Amino acid sequence: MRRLFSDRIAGAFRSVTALHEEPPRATGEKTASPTNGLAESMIDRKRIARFRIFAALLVAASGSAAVRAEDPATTFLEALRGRGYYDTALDYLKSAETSEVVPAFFKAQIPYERGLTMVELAAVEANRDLKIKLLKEAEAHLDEFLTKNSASPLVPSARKETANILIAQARLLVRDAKGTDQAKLAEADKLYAQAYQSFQAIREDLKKRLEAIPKVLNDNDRAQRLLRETRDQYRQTYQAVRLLSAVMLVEQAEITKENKAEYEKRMNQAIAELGQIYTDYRIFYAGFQAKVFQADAYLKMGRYADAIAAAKEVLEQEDPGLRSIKIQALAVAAPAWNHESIKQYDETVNQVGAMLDTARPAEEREPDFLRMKLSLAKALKARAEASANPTSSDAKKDLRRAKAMSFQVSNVQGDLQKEARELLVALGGPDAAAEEIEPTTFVEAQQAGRDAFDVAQSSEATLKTIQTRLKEAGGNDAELQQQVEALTQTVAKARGDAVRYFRDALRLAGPDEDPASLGRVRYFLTVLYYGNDDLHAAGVMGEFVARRTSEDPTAPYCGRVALAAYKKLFDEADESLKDFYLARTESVATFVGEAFKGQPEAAAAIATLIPMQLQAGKIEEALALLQQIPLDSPLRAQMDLLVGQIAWAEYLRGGAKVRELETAQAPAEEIAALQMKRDALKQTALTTLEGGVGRMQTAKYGKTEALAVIFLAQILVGSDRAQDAVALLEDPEKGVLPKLAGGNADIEPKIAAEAYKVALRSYVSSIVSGANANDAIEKAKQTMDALDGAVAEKKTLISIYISVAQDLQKQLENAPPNQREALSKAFAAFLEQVRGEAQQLDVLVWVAETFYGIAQSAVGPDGVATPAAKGYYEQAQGAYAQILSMGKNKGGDWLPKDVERTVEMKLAMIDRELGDYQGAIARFERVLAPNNSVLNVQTEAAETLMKWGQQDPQQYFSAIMGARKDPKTQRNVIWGWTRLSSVARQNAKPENDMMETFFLARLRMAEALRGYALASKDAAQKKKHLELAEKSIVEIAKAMPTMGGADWRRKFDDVLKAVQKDLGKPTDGLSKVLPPPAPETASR
Amino acid sequence: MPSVPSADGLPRFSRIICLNWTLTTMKSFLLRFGVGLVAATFGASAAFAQQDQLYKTNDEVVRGLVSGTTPGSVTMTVNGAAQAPIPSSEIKRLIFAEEPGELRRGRESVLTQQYEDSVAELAKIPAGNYPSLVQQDIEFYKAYSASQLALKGSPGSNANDAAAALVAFTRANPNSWHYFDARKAAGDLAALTGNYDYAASAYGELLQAPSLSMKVEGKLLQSEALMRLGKHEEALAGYKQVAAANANGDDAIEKYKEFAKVGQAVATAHTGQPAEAIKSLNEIIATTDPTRDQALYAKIYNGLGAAHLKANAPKEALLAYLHVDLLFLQDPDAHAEALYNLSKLWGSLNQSQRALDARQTLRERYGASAWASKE
Repeated sequence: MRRLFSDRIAGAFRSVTALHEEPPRATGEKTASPTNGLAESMIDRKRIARFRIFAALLVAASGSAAVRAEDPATTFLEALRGRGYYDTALDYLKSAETSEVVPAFFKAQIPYERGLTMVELAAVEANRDLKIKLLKEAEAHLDEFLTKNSASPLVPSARKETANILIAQARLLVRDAKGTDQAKLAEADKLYAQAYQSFQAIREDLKKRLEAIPKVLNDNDRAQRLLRETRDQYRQTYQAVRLLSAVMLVEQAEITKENKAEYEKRMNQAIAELGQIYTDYRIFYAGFQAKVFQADAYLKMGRYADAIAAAKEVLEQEDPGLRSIKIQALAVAAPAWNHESIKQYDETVNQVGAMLDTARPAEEREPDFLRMKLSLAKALKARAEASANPTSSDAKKDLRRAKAMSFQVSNVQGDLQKEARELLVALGGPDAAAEEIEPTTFVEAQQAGRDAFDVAQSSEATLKTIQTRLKEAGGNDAELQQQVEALTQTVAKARGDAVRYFRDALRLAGPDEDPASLGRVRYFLTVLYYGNDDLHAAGVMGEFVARRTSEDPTAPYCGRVALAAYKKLFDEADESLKDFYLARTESVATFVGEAFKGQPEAAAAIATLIPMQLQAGKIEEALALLQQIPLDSPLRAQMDLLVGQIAWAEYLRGGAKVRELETAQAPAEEIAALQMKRDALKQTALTTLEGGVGRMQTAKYGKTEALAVIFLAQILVGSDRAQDAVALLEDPEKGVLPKLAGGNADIEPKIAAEAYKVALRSYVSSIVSGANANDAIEKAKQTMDALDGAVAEKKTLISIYISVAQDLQKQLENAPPNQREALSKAFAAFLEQVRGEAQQLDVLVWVAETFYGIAQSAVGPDGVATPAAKGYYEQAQGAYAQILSMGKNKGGDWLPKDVERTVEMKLAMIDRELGDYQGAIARFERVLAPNNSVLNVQTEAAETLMKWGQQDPQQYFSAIMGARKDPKTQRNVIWGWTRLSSVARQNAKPENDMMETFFLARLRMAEALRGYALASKDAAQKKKHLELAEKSIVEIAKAMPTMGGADWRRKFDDVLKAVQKDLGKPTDGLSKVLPPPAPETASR
Repeated sequence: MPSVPSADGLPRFSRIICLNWTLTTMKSFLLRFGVGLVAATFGASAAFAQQDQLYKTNDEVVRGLVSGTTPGSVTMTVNGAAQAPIPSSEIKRLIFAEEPGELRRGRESVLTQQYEDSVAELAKIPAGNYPSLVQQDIEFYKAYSASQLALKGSPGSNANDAAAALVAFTRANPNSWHYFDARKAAGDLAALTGNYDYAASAYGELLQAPSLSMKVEGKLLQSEALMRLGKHEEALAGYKQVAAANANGDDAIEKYKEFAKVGQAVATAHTGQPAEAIKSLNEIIATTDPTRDQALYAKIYNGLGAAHLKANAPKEALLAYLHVDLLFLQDPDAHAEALYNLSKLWGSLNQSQRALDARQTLRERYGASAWASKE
């Protein structure tokens, strides 16, 4: 019972401290319903905030008529604290000291506000040392305020906060003393005494202040209105201080229990003070609160009759708004009724029984309810034992119920658990076979059913515990095995009995039976049917309750059970019945979702429908359903994640589809429509994943959670929110990286690799958005190490790094032009650092590829490398060269041959971009020498010759006819466009893209001829080559009128027109050769 | 884009005078006039019921037949004689004799800003061959109601559909007296969805309005759109024009001027003088009553946040935006702007949970806003 009292006191302090005070009421001055505590507290906060402004104005303005508009500092500060932003509130107070807009009156009260903020922060601080530190700092600030502002109307409130700090410090000492450290207890006692004295002094001060304010005030007069506000505030503080000091006395008395006289003196004093508060505020909530504290104090002292009398004053109230305080009163009264000096067991049984009957499911395990249940069990046991005929059915019923009650309490962790278990043992353990009765009335049957149900539930809980122990013991403990068997029988029998009794109850129900009682019986039957796997019956009964008695409080839950039953039947049904149960599931889910909107059951029903819609590919419908699940429902997060992940997966799949359509040259509008759909999917994925990740429970972190975080990070980093992505990935609670570091076994290696990929990309990208570059680089390096550890195969690792590089390049290309340069620089700086230290091939390839990508994205719109692009090409060149050099030095298979050739090719391409055509061609030759039938290398080599042709027209011929004769074969190592087109044409198949190479080669041939012609000084030569160019295009048009699609046709047409212009002919392009192209649909 | 409220808090349907008289309206007039002749053969009360009724803002009622409209006026013919055009700024409501009851009720709901009701009521209008002016009114109120719901972010509303309906309306009815209201609403929707180019152009059309108040409003809103487009110099010039306007006792213009002063300060911050901007905004705070206009205060603090950001003072910027999030959150656009910036600032101050919370609130409350999709 020690807990009971101290909890209450702590609660009182908390509520009073947190809300500052009770509403501004004195006896006879009723301004609102005394029972509506929540609403009052909300009003309080606003009133107090307003009061602070008024109070300060009283001091600062001192009658000044003009109120200057200024920063709404007090309200803002209240709002910051209200949201729990204590750190920001403290920052604000710091900035307010020097602010030009913060009013002078507010500046004067900054120390007070700082102290108050720290007191509130200390209340939520779990770390003991920090809590002490905060309290000390708060005290110093409040002292500062009191010293400098002795005339402020906030002085009483500041002093009250100071006293509260003393109590908080005393409480910490009591906790540390653990009941034995007398020195600490004595110190705590002193602090309590100081707090009490402070409270008394505040009371005296407030009295004087109140007396100084006229009784009658005119609200139409501004000054008098301000005074009324001040008076209200003083009255609130006065009331709060009285309650606090009285309750604190009880707490203080607890530590002097060894000294009976002192203990009784303090308790009596507390009782007297609480009694007086009740007298003064008897029609208000605070008055009843005082009365319950008083009853508890009596109980503590062993004055049971007085405790009962005090509690009764509260219990006799009929106002339904007082339910919560009546529960507290009952939890105090029941042990008093049970005491051997009182022995009013019937009171406990009747009153507690009645209260338990009205208990909401969420209340069943609350401390006050558990206390009441334990008291009820004790009363029932005592009553049965005191019965004249202990073997009578009534006595047996009492014992059975006592067992059920104590069993329930024994299954809940807490300070009552031990006592409940001892009681259960005294009662002979959970019932194995309750005696069967034959109920003759509805009430009897209902009670019997309820008792059997309780037994079933309690036994089931114990069964689970014992099964776990048995499993831990390897299944070899005979005693535990026996207990499991016995309890299994008990559960089965109790469940069967409960069903039978509840069915009897329905049979025995008269036409005027209380609908609420009938609803409860049906509810239990629904739950029992489901538990017994009688799914059809559970579905039918649950649906009946939900639809036919939807006003009944159990209706939503029954609907949920019905839904679960039908869903299970659907999952288990053969094909012939699937449709039937699917229809039932959808029908019940829709009904529950709509009929019980806003309740958890509605959310659960909708959550059942969402996967069904997703399975059918209906993401929009699933999204619409998602909006119907309240944000605070735990299911919302799960469903957010599910919808978000499916939407993101669809978005990615859509990307492949877009590429497919582009390759197939599908109509632009079709591609645009798909793109729009993808944009919507991305938005859906972002919104739902952000919501879901924000709300997700992280106690069980597995694949779903990890994927959700990875997907969201992918979206964020792709949307220039790299820092958000980093914050998310690293979040100690939700981030996937800490989970991987902690060795989460539920995250598969493939998912881990994806996590590291997105992390790497995020770290690199975060540099540009202002993250500390060194930190980001360090973390990126750690990520690469982790990636190396997670992926064993080198080629896979390289392809992962290349894909990250490609992602980064895509990001660069999509970045707004004004950000691109900064982004490039950040990437480059990062890459240089990595390159300097990297020893792994995969990392170096990644570095080089990324440099190359950055360079390409810095190329000007005319295709000419800008100075910046050249710089990046040179850096890429350095990285590729480093790979070759390290390959030589390390030897072995460090640098596989195919990778080496790719590196060479890249180097050749870079030479070309840097204008070193000779060097480039020499490299291409080296690459092609061992095997010259690699079409992409041949294409790049020919392109290089084309570029060279701009400087040396002779190279145009090489581009067409090939170059670098092999002395052995006497054939050109570099083929040129003619041979390329021929090889491509011969090898073209529907499944490859050789025709693309073919058309490219033919187009380039025409361009090369034109380039050569234009460079020629001989008019005849010029004309001849221009005509050749013209002919080459006309020939291909005639031979292949489709021209490889609209794109190619346009390109050929452009070149042909240019040639015709050069020749002085009409520039009619392909129009004379081919019929006009089909009209194109405008793209979006 | 803040939607600057009108002085009376009600939507405006009255502004412009334009005197071109089109064939369409002539046809309409002839048709209407014919109806009027038939109506004149009935008794006095029946004749009343068969007349159009124009309620002016000064509570005067003009009964007759609407014989012509322009984007800025309505001309009534009373007892066969055409009256002087009535500026739309003086019109409270215009009721047509042949209009269905649903249109009347829908219109009243619009006037009291009950847009869910107006949508429901207008949807009930039975299909029929209504005179073109009545049909115009039906189309306008439907499109306008949808736009206001979209601007509020009401569930089920769609900004793009509403914008398309408004654009279709103004294209089909360039002489409607609702023209400028439709353009302004289209501008608001464009701003909401981040299409500031279009918004600037639509608001720019308001400069053709004959009413000074609407012209000033148009300039202010156009400047806001230009700010969003990063055209700070142009925006600054626009704000200066608005701030210098002569209000002549017009409360609405006075309000626009206050907004413009704030805008001017914010534009100053963007043009490289954040310290000066902060000083100006603090002066405005010191002289403006916070309880008087929440939207204005929201704009001031958002401006202060932007100026502090420009001055590289993220903590101060955070506090400024928090003022909007905690105290002045009634204006959806301003609140969305604050939430967007808070999500960024919390992130940069290593408060990832608060950053996520802010972004989540932004998405949930203002999903249709451009701020929600801004990266």
